[in-house]
Amino acid sequence: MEVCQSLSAEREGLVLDSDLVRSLQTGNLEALGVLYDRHQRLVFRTALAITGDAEAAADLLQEVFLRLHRFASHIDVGRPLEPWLYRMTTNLSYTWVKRHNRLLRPLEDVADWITGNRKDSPAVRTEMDESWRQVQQAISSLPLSHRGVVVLYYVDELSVQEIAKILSIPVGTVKSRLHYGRQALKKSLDLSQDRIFTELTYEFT
Amino acid sequence: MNGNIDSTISRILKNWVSRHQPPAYGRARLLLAAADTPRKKHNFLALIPRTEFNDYPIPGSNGNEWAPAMFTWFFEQSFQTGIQARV
Repeated sequence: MEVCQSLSAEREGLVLDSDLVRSLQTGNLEALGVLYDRHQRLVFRTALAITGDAEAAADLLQEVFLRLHRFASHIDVGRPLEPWLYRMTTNLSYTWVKRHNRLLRPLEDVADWITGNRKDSPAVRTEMDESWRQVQQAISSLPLSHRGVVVLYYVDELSVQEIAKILSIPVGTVKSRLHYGRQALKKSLDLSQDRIFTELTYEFT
Repeated sequence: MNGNIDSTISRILKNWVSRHQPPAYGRARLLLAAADTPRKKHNFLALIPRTEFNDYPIPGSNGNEWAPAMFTWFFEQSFQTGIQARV
């Protein structure tokens, strides 16, 4: 991962991440801006896929880069930055989901019940496309630890070995969580019965 | 078999997350917040071995509960630096 990034960066005449982090360690905020531009999509999509909430993902995106700024002096510039970003994003996303499930969701449910604004009401249904809602529910129904592995594998296209390093878990654990996640998604998205989600599987660009 | 399923799941999930974009104002918001955030320097005191963990007192704790206190301290430190704790 780091070798490819370094080579492509050198070829394109870009400043390497390690140089930007070094610059950030001296307090250069412009370096933080460049790193943000370069890696914001990676962080945002990972946070969004784990939390299922675009507003939370935007907040987590900011929080990850604020921590990068705050703890820049602790970062080893000899190592690639992306695993650090993935690790921080998954950790913060896990924390957000746990806190949300424990504190906010019960309050939201009560508020919905009082106002009669049920999540499955026709108004909400039309607002949120049914198919995408199904995808979001399928992901949300996975246990958190499995969700992280599934997101890093399918959305970020990381290898099993890379995921194991990022999450500090054995390769075998990654494989078993991936297997469980795959089976669960297959079932909840109804992929086993030759039902093709033509509207959902268009080519990603 | 898994290959087909994997590529289908991957496409579905990627298309799902690609429906949302990072906020357009994110960079400016970040730099503004970063300018107000103090940066953490190396804490050399943390290198000194500590037998007590007074920073994280546990209610009703006694001297025998150093293990959960150490775990909490280790987890907090590793979380802040982005390294997942495994004790």
